[in-house]
Amino acid sequence: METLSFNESSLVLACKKGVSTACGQLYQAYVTQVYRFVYLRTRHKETAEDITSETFLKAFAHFENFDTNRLLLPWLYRIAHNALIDHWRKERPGFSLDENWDSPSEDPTPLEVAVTSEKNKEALALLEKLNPLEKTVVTLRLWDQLSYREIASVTDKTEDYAKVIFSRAMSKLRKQKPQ
Amino acid sequence: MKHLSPEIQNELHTLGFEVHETDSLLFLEEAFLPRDEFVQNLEQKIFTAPKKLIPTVTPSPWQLFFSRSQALAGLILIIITAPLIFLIVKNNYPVQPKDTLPTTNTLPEQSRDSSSLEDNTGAGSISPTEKSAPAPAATQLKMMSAPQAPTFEKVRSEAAKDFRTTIENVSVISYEKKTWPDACLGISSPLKGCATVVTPGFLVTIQVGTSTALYHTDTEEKNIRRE
Repeated sequence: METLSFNESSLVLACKKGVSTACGQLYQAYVTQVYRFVYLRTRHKETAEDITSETFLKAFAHFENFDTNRLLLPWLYRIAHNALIDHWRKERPGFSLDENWDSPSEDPTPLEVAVTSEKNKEALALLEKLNPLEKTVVTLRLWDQLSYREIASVTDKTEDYAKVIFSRAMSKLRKQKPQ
Repeated sequence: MKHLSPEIQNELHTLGFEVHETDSLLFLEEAFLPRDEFVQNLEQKIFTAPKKLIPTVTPSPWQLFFSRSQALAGLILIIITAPLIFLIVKNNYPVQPKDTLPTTNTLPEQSRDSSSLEDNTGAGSISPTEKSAPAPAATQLKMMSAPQAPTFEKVRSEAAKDFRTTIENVSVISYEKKTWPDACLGISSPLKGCATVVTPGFLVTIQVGTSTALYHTDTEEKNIRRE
């Protein structure tokens, strides 16, 4: 993440000035990560696409509000996270954010089982042993390599708490991993 | 596969992990990819949407302030200059051209006193003793666009001397526009020679008591002669 920050800040400034190619490059840089972030929580391709679309449409519509001192990806994740909460509230009117920071874990879908390799299936099964918040913190830390400060801003938790979650999740993974 | 940053590697070591233990998780990241078609369609939707989604340059508060100030100043300028422009246009294109002015002016009976003169060009009554009295806007416009109604102050003053009375007792009954053939206003004196200069002026009929008299004058009443 840090290595991208210089280029990102230039692109963000250019995009804020209305340079569409800069906005396009930012979109290309982060669309996969945002989609993955959403997909891992919805486990439904069409829903993940809808929420990813909503995230980027909202982000570019309000891009002038983005603080250039921050990184873009956590901001996009935050928008995606809010879109997910709205989605779950529509799906399940009694949805409580306190009880379900994330959508309930589901078993891998038949499509996932069919298309992923044995190694991935194993990793996915392992990941599913974690609760939604642990899964989110682990993926933000290992896949996106966000700092704990950025993870805290996405998950609405403190930095220290995010560290504790990551540590606890990794211990859980080790215990669950087949020897 | 993505390499973990040294910071995260150190953290994993601290937690008692070997880096390779996370390999399967890192591989898994690459299993969740969006469809290319979706990515392209969304990009098209964002950047070619009817409502422009990419940000436009927002004017700064200073720019907004100056643009609003300029608009306000422009409005004030228009408000101030509009009547002036209107008057200038009116002056250049008078409602009643000079050529249509009547050459003979007969003052109505009731206004044949010393205090006011009725201008039958339609300009209303003009009091010779109250030149600075405010007049309605329409009257002022007419006065500016048409030739000013003569008051014949000096003619009346001259007549007052001739009849040994006060100016208040002298009334102008009528006046007529004339073009006198010489500087003597058509009344030549055998003792004095007159320059043969065509002189525009008036033939003014005055009344003092029951007597009437005719006076010749130029337009500025510098030269006044009794017939």
